[in-house]
Amino acid sequence: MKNKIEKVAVLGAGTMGAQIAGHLANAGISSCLFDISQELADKGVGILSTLKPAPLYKPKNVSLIEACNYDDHLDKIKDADWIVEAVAEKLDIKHSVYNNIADYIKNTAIISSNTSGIPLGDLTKVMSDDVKSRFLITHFFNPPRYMRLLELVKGPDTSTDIYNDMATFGEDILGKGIVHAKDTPNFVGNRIGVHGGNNAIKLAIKMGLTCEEVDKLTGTIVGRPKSGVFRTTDIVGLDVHANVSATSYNNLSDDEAREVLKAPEILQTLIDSGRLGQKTKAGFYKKTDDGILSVDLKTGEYGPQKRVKFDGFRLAKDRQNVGERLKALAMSDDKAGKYFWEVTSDSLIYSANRIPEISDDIVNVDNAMKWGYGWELGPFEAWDAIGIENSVDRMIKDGKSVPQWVTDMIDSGQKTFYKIGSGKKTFFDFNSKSMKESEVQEKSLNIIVEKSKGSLVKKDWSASLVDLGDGVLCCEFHSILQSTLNPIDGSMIQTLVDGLDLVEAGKFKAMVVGHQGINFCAGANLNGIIQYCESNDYKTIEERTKILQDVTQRMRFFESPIVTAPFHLALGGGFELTAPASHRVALGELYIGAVEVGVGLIPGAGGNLRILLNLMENSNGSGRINAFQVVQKAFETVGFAKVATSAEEAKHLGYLLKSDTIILNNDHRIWAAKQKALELIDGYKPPKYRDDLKLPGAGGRTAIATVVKGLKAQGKISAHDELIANKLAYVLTGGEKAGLTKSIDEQYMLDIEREAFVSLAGEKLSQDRIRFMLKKGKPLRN
Amino acid sequence: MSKSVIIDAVRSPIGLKNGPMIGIRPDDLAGQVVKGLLDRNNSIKPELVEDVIVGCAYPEGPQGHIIGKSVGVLAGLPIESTGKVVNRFCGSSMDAAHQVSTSIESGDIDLGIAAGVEDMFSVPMGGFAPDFHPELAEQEFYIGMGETAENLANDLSISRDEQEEFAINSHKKALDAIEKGKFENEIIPVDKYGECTVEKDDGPREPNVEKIKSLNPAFMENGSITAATSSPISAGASAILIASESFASEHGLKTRAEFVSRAVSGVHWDRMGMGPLPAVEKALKKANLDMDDVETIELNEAFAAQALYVIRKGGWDEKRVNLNGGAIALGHPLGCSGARIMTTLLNVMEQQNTNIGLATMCIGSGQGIATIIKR
Repeated sequence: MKNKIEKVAVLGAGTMGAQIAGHLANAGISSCLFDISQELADKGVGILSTLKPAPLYKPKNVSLIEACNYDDHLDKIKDADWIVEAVAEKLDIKHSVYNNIADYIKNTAIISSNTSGIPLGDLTKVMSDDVKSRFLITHFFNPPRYMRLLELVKGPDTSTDIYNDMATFGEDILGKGIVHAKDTPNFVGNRIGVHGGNNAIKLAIKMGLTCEEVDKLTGTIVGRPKSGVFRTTDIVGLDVHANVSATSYNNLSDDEAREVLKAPEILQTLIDSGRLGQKTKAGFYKKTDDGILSVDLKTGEYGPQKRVKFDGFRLAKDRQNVGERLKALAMSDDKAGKYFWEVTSDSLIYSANRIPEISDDIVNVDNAMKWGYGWELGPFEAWDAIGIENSVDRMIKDGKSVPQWVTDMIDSGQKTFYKIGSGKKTFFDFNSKSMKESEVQEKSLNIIVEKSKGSLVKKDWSASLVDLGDGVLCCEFHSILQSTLNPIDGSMIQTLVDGLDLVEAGKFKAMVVGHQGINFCAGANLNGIIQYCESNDYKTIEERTKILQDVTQRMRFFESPIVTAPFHLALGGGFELTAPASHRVALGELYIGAVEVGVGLIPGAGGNLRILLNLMENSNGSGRINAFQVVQKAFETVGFAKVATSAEEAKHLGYLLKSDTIILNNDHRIWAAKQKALELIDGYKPPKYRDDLKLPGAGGRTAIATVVKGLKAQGKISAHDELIANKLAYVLTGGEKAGLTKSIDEQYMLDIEREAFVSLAGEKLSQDRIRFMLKKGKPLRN
Repeated sequence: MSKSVIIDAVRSPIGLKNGPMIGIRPDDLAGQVVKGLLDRNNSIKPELVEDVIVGCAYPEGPQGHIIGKSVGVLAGLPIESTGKVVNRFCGSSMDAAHQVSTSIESGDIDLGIAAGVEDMFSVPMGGFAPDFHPELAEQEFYIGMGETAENLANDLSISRDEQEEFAINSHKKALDAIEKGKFENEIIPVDKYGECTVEKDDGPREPNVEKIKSLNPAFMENGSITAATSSPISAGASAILIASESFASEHGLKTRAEFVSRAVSGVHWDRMGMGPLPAVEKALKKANLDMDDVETIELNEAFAAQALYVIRKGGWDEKRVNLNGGAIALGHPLGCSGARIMTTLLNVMEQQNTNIGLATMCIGSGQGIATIIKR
């Protein structure tokens, strides 16, 4: 990268501008956030602390953003390496902003617009040739911290270097997924999204489905966000959806599906009556005292939601793999199946027709929908999953017009859009009409592709061992029980142990524990625990807990480096598996926490020891913190089942070490973990066994118990909470053997932890909590 | 035996959470107050101060390392000056005054300073490393202060409304005192490292009755005590200059009041708030006085319920109590409060032109302390 971006000017302090500045701060980059008045700029900085979901990894990041106005602070633009404009989507306003700053642009600065619809050629009209060569469109999706998609569009004058630099910056520093878009209305994501969304609404009306039925069929079942089409529109805002639709409809007079692009009438009806979705507390749904009502798509009146019951849904639901669910649903011949087929087949055809109009290849289209709309599979990947040959036959039978290039592809003997084999991922290239290897950066190390090289060392039910090359072994989780949550099971632990054995036998030099699924690991297999409880088999619970403790201790003292790579959810046992490694390469979006209290337990696989050791290490050099304060902080964190909402916050809470690596690009995570492991190999020494742990013992524990008692008296916690809290305090303060003049060792702490864990598992109220969690997916307060 | 007399008494403003006082080190705060006291009595040479006794409830961290001596040094006393720390929890600096006064009366010294300080923001209540005795815990020895006040409220059926009325009055009286400049003679403005000068108490404010009524109980699920009827966490310092009568007359010093009697007394810790009752009884007896003789009372308001309990059970005349408001409005920086209420008492007595005054307070762990002075 030639142009280093260290200082940014964000023009426009609305929700997008402010959040772009916020995410820059998450990446450690300072910015000036401009608006026409200081008041508006201040307001923009202010919303970063109030918006939900939180735009910032930690509240302190706001200090990297300076609120500026065009009257007093234009000089600051001169320092900006990148100037990103995110003002209102009106050409004259954008032009006046560009003119305003023209004299202050540094001669190496990159300039971009966050427009979602205005053609690049129109934007650059007021710019000098020099500025034009450094201008491009950088289209973030809302909310920018959470949506991975960053669409880049270059114009005829944009320098290739500038464009590539921005792509690298977006990928490496901001952690975004780059989609290379063309200068066409709504670019890639929203172009496909508008068509799919409006078609889903119109077909629902035509085929007589309710909002809740559609949302059930377009949500997690098909690997898309839980909210489904209608609820998602409520969240986005009906007005926003209408505007985006209008951009497509007004500017795409030749689109073969132009009528679909037009916003459905019901949308306008709702907007006209001020129902804009979540922000006005009414849209397709309305929250009332009698529950959440849904709108009748024909009359616009609200009524209670009906229970959704479809055979097709039921059949699909049981399948773990999203591709299989899609297939099952598309094949089902009930109302659900028919609706899903119509919506999906139209969308697949529409997407195929957009090549090469909006993108030269299918990869960018799939990426846009995955990163910008949260789909697990992009349209072409979904098509592969459903089966191209059969579905095309059915489309033709239905009288739908399938793009020629797709039928040609099938005729040529190519039956899938993608293929993974021999360590390569290839896709069907529209231009060459042949399979082409995806351009993959070294950093985007993909375990599935690696396995196709023959690098699979061992495959078990819920985990595999994969040779990542250079002497690094990867233990990959892929739970057979719950593929998205990866709860710990015997197969995972056995595979991990087998991996450790292989490294110990000298077959490998280091190990990475991580994978590229949906969540790192959501903890223990509660189903297993409750079954043992119900058969009064606490001996097995004790044994299994001991095995887990032993494995985590083996990881801690392993002679070769182990790097874990947590991302998204790492709860309970997930934290306990990641903590004992030599180092962690964590994704910025990490939701990590010892949440056992929520199910009536405390950490049982070394979590108490880990959090104490982490807090002790993290506090070194940052002022003195005594044993009581370490325990107090650990107690508050674990006792209230605090979950860090970012890797940065995890360092603060003690779930990560300050020295751990945070990476923002999820595709680079496994590669970065491997690099870290390689770096650690030379001269690696495991930590020393601690037999000198100074903990407060009975006196400190009594002080904590007094506070806990007060919380109970205030009605803030239940009697059972108090029982759990005191067991937790017992473990964290070092049981009977600790005290101001005594030391304990690691194994003693593990032993009292295990004892407390098993005894809590035997409590009826804890078991009720476990059962409730399994059934309802949320904690029971009892 | 020589009499001990109060030459002067001052205090800092009392700071609350997020207020301008936060960030001033407690040793600096007390140092500034002691220096302010010496400055306004500059006819006395600092080297004549024979001892500095500082009351502090949690003498650790920035309040540690014998703050009694360090405060004197920071205030500009000579290196040869002496100092010690006394801890009687909330009664600490009143106890410091007792100690200075008794050593004067015994003839050990002729001039001393009793001070008090607490920064409850930099040193948390409970300290940095609480370590409780399990057997005492069994006996509820470490009972929360709020809970002890709930017990008193129950004993006399003091309703939430009554407590709120008391708290609102405390604020109104304090606001009125501020408006009429009644604190001016007792407050030493403090400097926050050049950033700002603080001259006013943070606490007193126009009561928002709706908000007060909407608060949840702070200590017990169905309790009657809320944050509005409890003294707030705060920071402050206070100091009293005490001399022997002979020293005062030799140096031509004006005497503001003399010590009449001092007392401490113990009660059960689960009702620690009633501590003033036996302590006052003892002090009155020693002074050969009746409660009716006491014209002005400063009763520390740890909790409205606790203060009401003492007033009612003791049959005190509420109109004589805390005329310029109390700790519920001003705050209760533990170690500072004893000398603070004595300072305020002195000023109220002068403002009301009364002769016999009483300062008394309850003490966590189950004690009471009382001082009777005469103008």
